[in-house]
Amino acid sequence: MEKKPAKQGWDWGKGITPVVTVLGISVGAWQFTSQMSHESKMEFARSMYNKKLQAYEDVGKAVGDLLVVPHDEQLWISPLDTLAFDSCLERFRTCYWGVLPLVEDTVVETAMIQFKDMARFYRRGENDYHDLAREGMALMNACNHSLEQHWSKPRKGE
Amino acid sequence: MLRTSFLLLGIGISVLVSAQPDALATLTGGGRQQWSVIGSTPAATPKCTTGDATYAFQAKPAQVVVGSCVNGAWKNSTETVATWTVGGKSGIAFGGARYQVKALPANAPACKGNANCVRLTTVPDGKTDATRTIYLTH
Repeated sequence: MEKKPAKQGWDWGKGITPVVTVLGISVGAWQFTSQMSHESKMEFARSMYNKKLQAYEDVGKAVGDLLVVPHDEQLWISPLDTLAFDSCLERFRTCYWGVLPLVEDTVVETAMIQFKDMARFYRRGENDYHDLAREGMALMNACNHSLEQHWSKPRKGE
Repeated sequence: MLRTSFLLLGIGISVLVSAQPDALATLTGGGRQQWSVIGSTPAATPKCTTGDATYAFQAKPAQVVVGSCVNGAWKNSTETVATWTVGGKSGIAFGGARYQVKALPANAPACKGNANCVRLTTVPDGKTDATRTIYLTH
């Protein structure tokens, strides 16, 4: 009687190796895409931050230009300064419409609207220089706070 | 020395803040005051033009009767008035809007020579970038 060949046992090494390989490749691919996604998000956040910074620098310059028009920081606007003030206000309004859609920060937006209104009131002689300077300071503080918050707040969709 | 300076500064600011008249008191005079928009028809006139408005502010209960002109006749509506304070600013709120109140001198161009002149400016609500300014006199 012919002897049956001994039943060969399951070669675990041969079976597991491809599974481990596939698993390793999958984990690597997942890590890679996840890293890439994180990198692209960071890149987007960084570019938005730079745009914000640039925009707020423009706002700061426009605010500063408006605040230095009245000579010696006189309390009420002088007729001699109105032309220069109007020109600076025009520049601030350009900045206002250019920056507002970009930053999407309601606190900065509100502060910009209030500064714009206060500049009009100062121009009409309804509010004094202190009120205008206070609104300018509030606007710059809002910009500063917005930049600080940029990295801490969760981005939309996360 | 530095602490004393800060204390004095704090006291000074507190005195200034407490010395500022309350927005509601400015409008009610402690009781009830009738205001009309500068340039519009006075409330006593029966026939009005579209866009005319009057405001009768009352301290207790805090409310305002808003008179608006509809088809040449006055139409009144009563709104509850609340006060608000945010970040060192304060004012009143009624009809779904928040207002900052400022008494203006008669020589302010918008007052057109009216001695009792008050400006109400809406606070941006984050939904629209338009603010509204109302100049009132009584």
